[in-house]
Amino acid sequence: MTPTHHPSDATLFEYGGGSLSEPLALVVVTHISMCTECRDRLAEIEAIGGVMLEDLEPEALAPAAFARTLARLDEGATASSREIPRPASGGPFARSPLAPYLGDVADLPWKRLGRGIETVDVVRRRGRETRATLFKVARGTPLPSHGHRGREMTVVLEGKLYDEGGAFVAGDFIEHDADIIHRPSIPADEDCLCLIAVEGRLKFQGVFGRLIPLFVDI
Amino acid sequence: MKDDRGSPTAVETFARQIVAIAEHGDRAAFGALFGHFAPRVKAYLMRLGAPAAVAEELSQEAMLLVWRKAAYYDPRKSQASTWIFTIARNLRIDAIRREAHPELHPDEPALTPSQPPAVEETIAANQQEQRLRAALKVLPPDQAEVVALSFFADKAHGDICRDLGIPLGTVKSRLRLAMKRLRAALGDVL
Repeated sequence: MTPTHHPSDATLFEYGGGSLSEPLALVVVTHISMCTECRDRLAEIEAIGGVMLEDLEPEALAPAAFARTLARLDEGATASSREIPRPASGGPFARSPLAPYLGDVADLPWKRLGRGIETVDVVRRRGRETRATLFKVARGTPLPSHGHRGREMTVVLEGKLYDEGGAFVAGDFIEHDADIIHRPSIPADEDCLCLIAVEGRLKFQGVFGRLIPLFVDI
Repeated sequence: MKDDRGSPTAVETFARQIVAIAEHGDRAAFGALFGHFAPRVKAYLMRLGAPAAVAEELSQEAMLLVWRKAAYYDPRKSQASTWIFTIARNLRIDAIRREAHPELHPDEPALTPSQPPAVEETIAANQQEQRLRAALKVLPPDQAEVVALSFFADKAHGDICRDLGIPLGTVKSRLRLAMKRLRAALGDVL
């Protein structure tokens, strides 16, 4: 099935331009991996990046720069290259952009967050407060209403999620700015697996909701 | 050659040079690519705030990655400048921001199906860069500004709108309008 909910042009520009922080970028590219339309949109944006690079006024390198680079051609991989290691195992995420982040998918370190909700910490950046988390929510589980200190981006991996703007199925992408207060929910007859990235700690609503941050780091 | 910039011949030549590196470690081809792209990658890094010495090091590093990753380059999927831009972008995020840029899995089977046939693509590649450049030149200045900032500011749009003193919605709608124009200019070329 082709996703019908996509990142905005602005968000794709942030991913393609390279300004999006890693956890949010991971949610965007996971959607792109499930969406041929957005793959083409990204190709256009990266082509714009290529033209921008091409049209910059060149900055001359030191005269010896090329000779120095030539001398290094036969060395091994460079130390500063932060290549994400290839995952050891297959499974449903084998060819997903998520694969390098998950390690052994058969043995993910699921943590129980509350009744019907399990999570895996996928990546944290910027003082650990910007992070991407896998959520596995059992059918019919109520989720707390919450606000944000930053943006939230979600890609549905399996099942269905209701949120502002309707119902979202596998591959669909949802983005919210900091000013939204929302209460996503899960249908009564289907579990949901999704990847959610947020900037900053959540602000929970209601007496029950306000207690949550006392116990869990989300 | 400055006059050659983005011409169909130059675009094709760069692509062929990367393929020559992949196929037989062609050092002359690498030299030509280095001469053209290393100073532009250095300018890109400096534009994003890297000190000249750091930009000098990293632009050489980027060209080393061009050499090492040449086998992954597919001239049917992207132009040389596009591919080298993504290498420079990812290297900068890695070295300066200390993060990774999550990418599509290289074995992603779905990476290919939406691509047109190879023969058309060769023609398309020749035209795409020129059409994009022409369309970028005639973008309204307020749209051109936010497009450029998306590549050269390393800032979220929330910060860009504060810098420009305009609402976030305005930044987003300018990018949407810009994309609409650029996409129309590319027409059926992509």
